[in-house]
Amino acid sequence: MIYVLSGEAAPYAVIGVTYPSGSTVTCTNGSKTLKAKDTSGKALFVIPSAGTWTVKAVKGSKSKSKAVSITAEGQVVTVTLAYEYVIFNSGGLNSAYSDGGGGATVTVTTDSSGIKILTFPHGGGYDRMAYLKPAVDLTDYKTLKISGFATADRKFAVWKTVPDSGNAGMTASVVIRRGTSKSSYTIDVSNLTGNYYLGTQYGTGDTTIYELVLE
Amino acid sequence: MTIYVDSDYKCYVSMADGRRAIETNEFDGKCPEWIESFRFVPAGETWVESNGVMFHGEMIAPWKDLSDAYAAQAAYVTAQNKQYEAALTAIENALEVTT
Repeated sequence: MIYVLSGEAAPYAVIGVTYPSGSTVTCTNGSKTLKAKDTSGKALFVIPSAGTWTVKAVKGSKSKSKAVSITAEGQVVTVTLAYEYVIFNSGGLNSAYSDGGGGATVTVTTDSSGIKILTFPHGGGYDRMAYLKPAVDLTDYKTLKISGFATADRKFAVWKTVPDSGNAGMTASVVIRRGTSKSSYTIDVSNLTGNYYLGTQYGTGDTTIYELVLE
Repeated sequence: MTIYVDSDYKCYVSMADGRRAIETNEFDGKCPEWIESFRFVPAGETWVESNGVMFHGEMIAPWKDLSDAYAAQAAYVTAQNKQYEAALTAIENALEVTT
């Protein structure tokens, strides 16, 4: 769909926006505001003038905006807006979450540099699983970004059911590689809706996490 | 088991042009509908989404909604269990034992 400000000058440029469906999206420059008329997840805004336009998506308490510089007539810019939700980072564990009670207790400590880390331990026995509770609603997110390392290659996964050593509920995963310094990993969660647990597969090593962020 | 992936790392249960075979045990016990709902990026490889986001292997994730896959997988397991029960019954009958 194309939305044009009523009474504005001829189209100057176009901004295409992909955003979480169900969101309200606006495109603003000073006092001029264009608003998407539906919440389908895609919109095309016909921009009437050069300048910096701010595209913003809002859904409940979530919001995300990006500035777009329009400098040339006929310019076409595409923007993807995704909400960000921090589960763990250098500030610590989001207070909404805690150890899931699977027998391998997830703990927050610090590394040798004093940076906060989230450890998913092996737990010392089969069926002792490390995960967070409660389950996280992945509906409005595209990716789960993870930074960390493991003492042995080990999957970090999203689980439809409470994590178990048989991996019955494991729905998406990435292998966190054995090492001693953090690397970045990403899981595609764009096709998952509803609540999922976050945790490691059963394994004999520990997994150290520096960042766990949904975008 | 052998699965096949295309250039976009989408999984298939059969070979075709543009697909290559990969050996993995990640989909053992899963029905074709389930397998073909997933993207599998092998270790050492990277899938780059059209928007530039990179996913390093080994990464497994669905590329489409799983509603149909869950239903198909449940039916697949039920059918397999019936086969196992029938086979067990045949063995029991042959051995003239009951459980």
